Parts: sequence; C-alpha cells; structure tokens
Amino acid sequence: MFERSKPDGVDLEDRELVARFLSSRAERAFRELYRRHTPLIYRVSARLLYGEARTRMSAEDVTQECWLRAVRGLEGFGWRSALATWLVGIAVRVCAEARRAPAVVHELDEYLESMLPPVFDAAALERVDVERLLAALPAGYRTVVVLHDIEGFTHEEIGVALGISPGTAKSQLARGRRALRDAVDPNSGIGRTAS
Amino acid sequence: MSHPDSTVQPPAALEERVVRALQAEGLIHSDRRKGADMKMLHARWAIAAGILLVAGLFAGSYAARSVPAEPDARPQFALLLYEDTGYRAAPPEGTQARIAEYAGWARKLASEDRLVDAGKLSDTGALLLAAGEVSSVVPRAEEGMLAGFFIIRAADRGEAERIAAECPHLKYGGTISLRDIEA
Repeated sequence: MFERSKPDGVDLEDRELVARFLSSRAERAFRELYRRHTPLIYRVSARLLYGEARTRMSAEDVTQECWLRAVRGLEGFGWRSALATWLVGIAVRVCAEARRAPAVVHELDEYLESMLPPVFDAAALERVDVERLLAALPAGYRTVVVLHDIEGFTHEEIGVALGISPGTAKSQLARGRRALRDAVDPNSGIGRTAS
Repeated sequence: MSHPDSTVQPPAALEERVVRALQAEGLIHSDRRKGADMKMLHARWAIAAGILLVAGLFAGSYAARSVPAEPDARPQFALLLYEDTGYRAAPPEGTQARIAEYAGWARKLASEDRLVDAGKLSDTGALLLAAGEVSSVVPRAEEGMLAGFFIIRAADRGEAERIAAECPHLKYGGTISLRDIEA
C-alpha cells in the first residue's frame, strides 16, 4: 500500500506556496503547487473513474476541473485541513458529478469493524486486477477505500474531504473492505473478522 | 508492497493544459516568456482563423456584389475538424507553412464562392449539463477534440464530400465530420 508521508514541514511549505501564489497569481507559483499536489489528485481521480462507462470525463478532465475550482476558492481556504485533503475533497466531488451520483450517501453503523487493521490479504490482491476490483465497488465505498487504504488518509481527513463524519468514513471502509474480500474469493473468508 | 498501479502518473502535457485553462479564466497571470511561447503556439490557428474569416467575409461581400438580387439557394454543410492523438501538429519551424496551407485552401474555397465561414475553437469553454450544472471541461468526442470548423456551400452532399476530402487537415491525421446544415 502507499503510505502518504506527512512530514511536519509539509503544511508549512504548502502555506508558503499558497501565500506566494495568492500574492502574485503568478504562473510560476501555481506550477509549484500543481507539481506538488497533482500526482495525488490524478491518482485518486483515475481510481475513482476507472471502469466508469457513464462518464465522459477522464482523470485529466477531473484534475483540470479540480484545479480550476481550487484556485477560485483558494483565498477562502481556512487551513482547517491539510491542503492535500482539501484538494482531494474537490477531486472526489468532481468525480461524483462526473458519475452524476452522490459520492458518499450511506450512513452505516459498522465502524467498529473498520477499526481493525486491513483484513484483505495483500498477496491475494496482487494476484488479481486491483483496479477492476475497485471499479466494481459502489462509488461511496470505492472513494473511502482508495483514500484510506491506498492513499493513506485518516478517517478524520476523509471526513473533512468528503463532508462526512469520521464514523461514516469508517463504516464505509468496512463495507468496502468486505466487498473487496468477497470479490477476491467469496468462499475463502480471507481476513474475516473474528467473531 | 508494490501496488500494481504505482505507475499511475499525470501525463506531462496535463500541466500545460491546466495552466492554459486557468489563464483563460484569468485566474493566474502568464509568465512573460511562457506567455509568448503559448501565444506563438496558438498563433498557428488563430492567424489561420483570422485569414479564413477575412477570406470568408471577402467571399460573402463579393458574392453579395455579384448576385445582389438572388439569395444563394445552395445547401450549406459544416466541416467539423477534429484533432485526436493521431493529429500531427506542425513543429515550430513549420507553423507558418501549415498556416499558409490551411489559409490557401480556404482562399481557394472563397475564390470559388464556396466558403461561408470558418473558425478555430479554443481549448477552453464550458460544458452545460442538465439541472443547471456547468463544467469548465470541454468535452471530447470519440473522434477527439473539436478544433475548428468550416461552413461551405455546395451543390449537394457529394460535392461537399469531394471538397472536404481536399482539406489539408486530413493528411495531417485529423478527421473531418461532414454535416448537412438544415435549411
């Protein structure tokens, strides 16, 4: 899994870059922000749109739209979350609009299960097409699985990005992991939570 | 663990596309040198479009002077020029020659009283969806990005197809969608 590194200086560097950009609106300053955060935006968008037959937007389209919205709203960004969290939240919303379906809508109460470590077997996942499995998940589950298990966001960060509670993020993750386990091998019970 | 999809990276060209989109909306200021480069890049079609429009206007005014009493009854056709990944854009040193080639073709149409209008479409714009949704992402058709258009007059569809087949856009890997314009 990817581990999203978050050294202490990241937030400070982002604040400096944003301040520099807002003071000048210069292309050069924007490009620094772009190069710093676009790989994450693009990866998340690509995974959330993979296999979506109904959308005509690509991950590139989403990334462009995400930056347009972000730059329009950057002055109002209050740093209540990391910049990356905010940007990913925008990207997820654009993806949801592209699918013309809400991103996360279900309130579930199984978040306790999601407190457990990842329970699907990594070696088993490597034997299958991970992207295809993710694409088969309902949009809300897929969003949380991608952000938490692949990009390393915390439930609190996911909650901020998606405008949901951390508990809802946890329950969505639990459902998503369960669906992934069943997809890998519906009969093996890989990683089933011990009762 | 090496994730199977760890190679997912944004294409290099995306950065320029995003920067251009932001510039088009006035959200960022162009660096002077970069701006000059981009202006040069876009000049190829902008100049061509200007030439074509002038040619078209000339053709229209000429036609109006020549046949003032009778409206042109020939049907009109739209030639929609698409550029996908197969389109071979001119290198910087060949830009002027490419412009001259497209413009020459347009002048030929104008001299034959066939050109009605022409234009180059910008990469930026908006996509309006149902229920009031608006996106700044210009949609791509399966054929690629709609990059420009010609409106021509011809005796019939067959003649319009023969005219379109001579458009230099085709030999550079572009595609043309020929559509009848309803009277």
